[in-house]
Order: sequence, then C-alpha cells, then structure tokens
Amino acid sequence: MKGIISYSTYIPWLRLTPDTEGWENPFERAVANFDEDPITMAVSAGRTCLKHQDSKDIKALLFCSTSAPYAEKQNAALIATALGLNADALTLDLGGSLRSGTLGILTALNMLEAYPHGSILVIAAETRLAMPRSTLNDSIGDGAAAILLGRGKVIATIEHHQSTSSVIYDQWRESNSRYTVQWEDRFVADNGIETMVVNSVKTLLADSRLETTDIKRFAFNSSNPRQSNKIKNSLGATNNQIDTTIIDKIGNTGSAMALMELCFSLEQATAKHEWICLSSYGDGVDTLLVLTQEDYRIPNQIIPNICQLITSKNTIPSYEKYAHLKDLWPIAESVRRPEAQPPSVPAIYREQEKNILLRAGQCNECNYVQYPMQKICVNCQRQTSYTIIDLSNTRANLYTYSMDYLAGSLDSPLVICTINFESGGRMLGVMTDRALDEIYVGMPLEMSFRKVTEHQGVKSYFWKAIPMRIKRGE
Amino acid sequence: MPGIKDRVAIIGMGCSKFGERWDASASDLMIEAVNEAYLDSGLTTADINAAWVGTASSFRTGQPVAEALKFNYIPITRVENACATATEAFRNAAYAVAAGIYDIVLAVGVEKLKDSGFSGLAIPEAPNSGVTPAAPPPSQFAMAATRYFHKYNISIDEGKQTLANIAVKNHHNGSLNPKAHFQKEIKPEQALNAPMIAWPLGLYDCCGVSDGAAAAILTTPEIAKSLKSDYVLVKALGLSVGAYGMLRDDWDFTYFPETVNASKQAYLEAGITNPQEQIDLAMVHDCFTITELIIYEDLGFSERGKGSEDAAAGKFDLEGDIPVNTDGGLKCFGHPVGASGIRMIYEVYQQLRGTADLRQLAQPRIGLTHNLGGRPGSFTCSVGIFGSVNTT
Repeated sequence: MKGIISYSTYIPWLRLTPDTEGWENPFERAVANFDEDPITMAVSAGRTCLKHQDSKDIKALLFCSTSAPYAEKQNAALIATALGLNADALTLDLGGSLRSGTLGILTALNMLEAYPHGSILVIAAETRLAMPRSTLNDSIGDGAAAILLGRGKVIATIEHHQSTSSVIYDQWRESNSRYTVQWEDRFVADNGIETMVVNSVKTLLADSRLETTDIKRFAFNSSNPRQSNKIKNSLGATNNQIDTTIIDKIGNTGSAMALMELCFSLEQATAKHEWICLSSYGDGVDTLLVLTQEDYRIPNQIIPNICQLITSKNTIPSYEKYAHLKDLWPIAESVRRPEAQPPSVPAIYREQEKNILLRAGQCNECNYVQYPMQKICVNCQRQTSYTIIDLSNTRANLYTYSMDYLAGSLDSPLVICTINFESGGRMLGVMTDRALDEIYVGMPLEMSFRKVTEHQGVKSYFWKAIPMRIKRGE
Repeated sequence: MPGIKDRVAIIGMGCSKFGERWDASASDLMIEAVNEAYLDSGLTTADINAAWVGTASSFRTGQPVAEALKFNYIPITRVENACATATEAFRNAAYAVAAGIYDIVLAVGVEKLKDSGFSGLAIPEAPNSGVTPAAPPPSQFAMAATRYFHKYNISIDEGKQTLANIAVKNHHNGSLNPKAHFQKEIKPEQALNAPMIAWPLGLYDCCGVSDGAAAAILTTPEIAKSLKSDYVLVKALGLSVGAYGMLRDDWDFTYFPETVNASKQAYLEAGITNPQEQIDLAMVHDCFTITELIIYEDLGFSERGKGSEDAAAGKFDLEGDIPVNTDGGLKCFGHPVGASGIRMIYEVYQQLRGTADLRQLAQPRIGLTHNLGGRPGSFTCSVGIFGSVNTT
C-alpha cells in the first residue's frame, strides 16, 4: 500500500488579529516574520514531518510555491540541503498555480511508481502579498505544509483524484510584480472557485460511487468563511463536514492551503476508513479522495501539530508594524550604523555544513562537543576527527543574552544570545519570534531556519533561536 | 627568560585632547601627541631611530606617520591588535630597545573614528557568509553583565546600581582631566535612567567613541639617566590572546581568561606577588562598566564576586586603596581604539612623576595598564606594569 506516511504544517508565530491597531477585521491572519520566506517555512514544516522518518529514504523533494524567493535558481535544492536529504534526491520546484501543492502530491504519487523503495516529500509554502487594504490582503495568510508519501505505515491513501484545468483571469501575479491581484469578485465568485470546486467534487464522487454523506470532511482552499459555506451548501454538505478554522485563524495560504487543510483533516481523523475530500483551486481544480488507514493515529507523534501552532501566536501590534515587516513601508536599516556587508558567495558555498546543516562535531579523541567543527580540538588541542552532531534538532537553553536597541531595526531590540546545546556545544545567535518579557537565563530554546542577510539577491540563510514553540509536556 | 623588567625607560610622553575632534585629522592628532612627547623628552624627530604606530582603522601602513612627522626614512611599522593596538605598538618598540637594536624609539597610537558618520565602531570585516549575528560590542559585553548578575544572584536593579557607581566614579575622575572627552560629573540616577543601548547596559555604561592620539618615546635606562631624572621604567608587558569562549560551553562569561593570563605574565615579569598591596593605581579597559567590574576580579584586586562590594566601598576611587581609571578611563577620557593603550600609560607616567594635577595620588610607585580588545570569549589582552625611577 502506498500513501501518506507523515505530514506536518508550519504556521508563523505572528498574526494580524482584531487587536492589531489599524487592521479592522474580525478574523486572524498568520504572518511570516521579516526573516522568514517560503524556503525557511518549508524547512520548518519539513523538519517536523521528518522527525520520526529517515530522511535518507527520501528519493525526491517537490517544493510547491507561487511566492518562492528565487525565480531562477532552485529553491528546493536549499530546502533539501537544510533537511539533510541525500544529494542525489531529485529536487523540483513547482509553482505558477495556486494548486501546485496538490499537483505536487499527484506528481509524487506517480513518482512512487518509479521508486519501489523510498519516499517522496512534498512541501508547499507561501508568503504571498496583495496590495495593502485590498480584499485579497485581508484574506491572505502565510503558512506551509509537508506531506511525505511512501509505503509502510500508511496514515491515509489517496484513492481517487480528478483534475481539471481552466483559463480564467480571476487572480494572478505577473512575474515582475510583488502583488497578487484579482478580477472583480462577483464574477470570480460565480465562475471561479465556487462553481469549479463543486463540479469537480460532484464528478469525482459520482465516478467513485460515493455520496456526499460518505465524506467525513470536505476541505478546500477558500478565501473566506462565506465562500466555504456557499460551497458547502452547493454540495449539500452539513456544517459537520466542513471546518473553517484555517480560513478563520490563518488565512488563504495559496498553494500550501490545500495541504494544510489535508493535515488538519488527518489530525482530526477519529477512525480508519474515513473519507476526506480535498479540493484545491487555481486555474482549474484538483480533487483528491483521501481515505484514512490503519495507522491514522501516527500523527499524535507529530509535534507541533496544527492546533498547537494555531494557538502559539503573537499579535502584531499595528498595521504599520505589519507594513514594516512586509517591506511595504521600508524603514532605515539601523541608526547611524554602517551598511551591512554583502555576504560572500564562496563563503556561503564553503560553509554549508556549518550554516545550513548546523553541524557540530564531537572530538573522537576527547569527546568534547564544539561548534563550529574545528580542525584542532579546542579541548584536547589534537588534530582529530569528529562525530557529527545535528544542532538544528538539538534542544538548547539560553546561557546569557542582551537586547540591542541600536543594532536591529525591524527586530528591535535585537536579542543577542549565547545558546548552549543539550548535546554540548555553544553558539552566538539571535533570538527571533520572541516576546521580550518571556526571556530569561536558562529558558529552553529550539532552532529555526531563517533568512539572515540579503544583498543583490544573494540571500544568506542560517539558524536562529526561538523560544520552545510548544513547551515540553503540553 | 630575562623579561623586560627595568630594561626600557620612558623618557617622554604626549597625548592629544580626546573627543569629537572635528578640527583635526589623524595626522593632526598624531602631531599633537608627538610634539608633547618631544617637548617632554627634549628630543626631536632626528633623534628617533625607529617608530611603531598603532591604529585599528585610521590607516594601514607606517607611511602616514612618515608623511605627518617627516622622519628621515627610518623604519616605521604599523601594528594592530584590536583594542590593545596602542599597547602593542608600545610593546614592539620596547622590545626593540631591550634587544639592543635601537637607542631611542617612538610608539604612537592614533584613531580618527568620528569622521565615519557612525555611532560606535565601524571597523570593516573580511568578506564572510554573513551569518554571524550583527552584534556590536555593547550587546556582546551586555551578555557578560546578564550572566554575572545571574551567577551571583544579583537583581537587575542591584546590578545596574553597581555599574552606575563605576560610571559615576569615572565621570568624577574625567571631570578633573582637561584632556578627557567627557568632563562632567554625573549622578547615579542619570546612569540608571539613561537610554538603553544594549540591555542591561545603558548609555552611561558605554565608553566614549573618540578621536585621539598618544605617544611615548622609549630608550634604555642608561640613556634615560643622561637625559632626565624622572623617567619611568617598564616593569612588565604581558599579552594574552584567546578565542575559545564561544567554542567552550563551560566558560561562564564572568571572568576573562585573557585578562587573567596577561596579568599572570605581567605579575611574574614584574615580581608582583600581591597585586592588592603592590599596585598603586591601574588604568583598565572599561569599554563598558561591566568590563571594569570583571577586571577588578580578573586582576586580583577583588575576590571573585566581590567586585561590586569593593567598588561600593570606594576601593577604586581616587582616595581608595587601588585607584582605577584616575584619568576618567575609556568611559570619560574616551576610546580612540588605536590610541587608548598609550593614553593609559600616559596617565600612569604622569601619576608616577607627580604631574597629574588635580588627580594626583599620594606618591604612587607602581602603576598598571590593562587593554582588552575583542569580545567576551575572544580577546587580545595586554597588561603593562610601570614603575617610577626609584623602584629599580
């Protein structure tokens, strides 16, 4: 049997909420921090997804996004490296359509036929942008999801699927534009998602000899609860069969949304052989009929899960602050400080093990753990070999810290910290996604992949510390 | 090892006014300091056999020194060793004299920082991957404060009070020094309520970033004797370089091994067995108030964890047992990186010769200078010990 063997979501910590000054909406929107982009969020989702999996079994990574940072230069390659996949795993960027997430899953299903052993990882992540104050700006949220397809302990299978493509200018972004725009919403509502999803679902159910009542959960990438309700009514479904949590609390996360909806539905599965009908709209529709299997409970191991991530949040105080974060209203880099030096490409290339994989070494002579790995051991001073320790997945605590009010701007005060890892090893780092009043010496930390510098398109990625997103024992 | 003790004498010193010297270039500052040293020693350009210039970022070679001072094609070397740069220029010059290579040499330190348009230091780095956090010095030293308070169970308020006391002392000393960048007394409340720079360090916990230059003319004790009666002898020049604090997760930020090692070297070389008794005054690298607090303990002036207590009891005041930073320190004299080490020696030189005016201590005989460059976990530290002529 082949199917979904692991999954996870990533939801950024920041939110636009009704408490955000100057953003008058009743719902919440997840917002990527200034140091996040689809690459970093994909790494975050992927790491959770692979926590109990052997990443060396993965034959391919499909990265799905319409807002990936690079148009020319593969985004998936960096994600694969940060996730520690084999260098010979196939890496693909999928984009263009808002249903590239489900297209990724369907492609992966086909690829599995070519790989009788091993698994395929699909990750979708988005940080889309719409003009400030537009309807789209209200509906868009940032998020990511990862789905691992393979064989063995299968959580759910994809039993039937149906795809339709369509030419409709309902929503688009030109490749040289920052903003997604849409056609007048009455036309879009009548001719786009609300019709196409319903038609696709009805066709697939009929082809699969299933009734609306056979389905435990209908999920789709709608832009607001009203749209969800309309589709529900057209399908003849009941309130129990849909859930608007994601659109209420996170927003429309583009190509990641269908995958997040799938993760959410799977997390809430209560028995084997429950049907989930997942539709993904964008220049057509993909509808997938997903059936939970014997091992549907595996998700209990996947921490943090989507419900925990939804509650783990921090309100952006004002729409102005949001505009700064999204570079809609650029602010000066920092107060009377020299311009940051552009990153060196050869150094980035050379230091992947240190920076992207965050590997420390344990001296094979004296067992002392040090980061970064040294040619000569800091403890025994011998030329030595090392056993690799993956600090990116190692719990840490805050040894000491300071809060710099001059060095940072977007993130002021910059929380500079000395991070001691439970495995041994220490690094100088920055803490992100933090509330100042929660910081204390000794606090538990985890590492999060972030974009740290950018100059003329050269982005340097590294790990920052974050407070434990989900505390131990919760 | 024979060591440097009593093998080199200082026969002339000079120091420019430190501060925001919009009126002066690096060369102008250097000429100001060297002219004073010439005047003090009775020597001129033609008497100098070789020169060492310390500067962190104002220039790259010895050529600007030649250009400014018009030496006659003598050897001139630029040295750099972080905030210990000036002491390093001095050390190289002293060793050349002790080695018997030259009779009379010049060590000059200079820095022109305020032309950059930036607050704080703006020293360019080598090209890198850009992942190391942009953590300027205040945030790096502030981590030492956070951990120091944590280790000794000191509340942030108590800790800030201790640091404020150190700032108040150095401002008092600076107010007595016409060459200091800042010459105003402050009250503890000013320090406590100052804008935050890098929590827990506020504005008055951070030293001045200044323009300035300082110079020393060195020779052998024999030649010195023939030139003046109140020369000063070099007793020790320790230097320790380490870079392991971030590689070792067991180093705790509340002591700086580089200071401990440099002072051990210097005490041994000078024959100091009990620094609390034998050292009469010290100019230390108070780049931040927390640094000065830790230095008290690292140099053995205070027991571990007792620096706050001793400071509060006035031990390091002008009237105390071991007056520290009698000239205002980096805090108030200012910190032109490449000049600071020689500026410290300048104050010790004045004090040992009884020419420190309002700040003059009662007959000090042995003075110490301490220079610390880098950041907690990775330092260049120099410790110099100097004695008045009658200490031979």
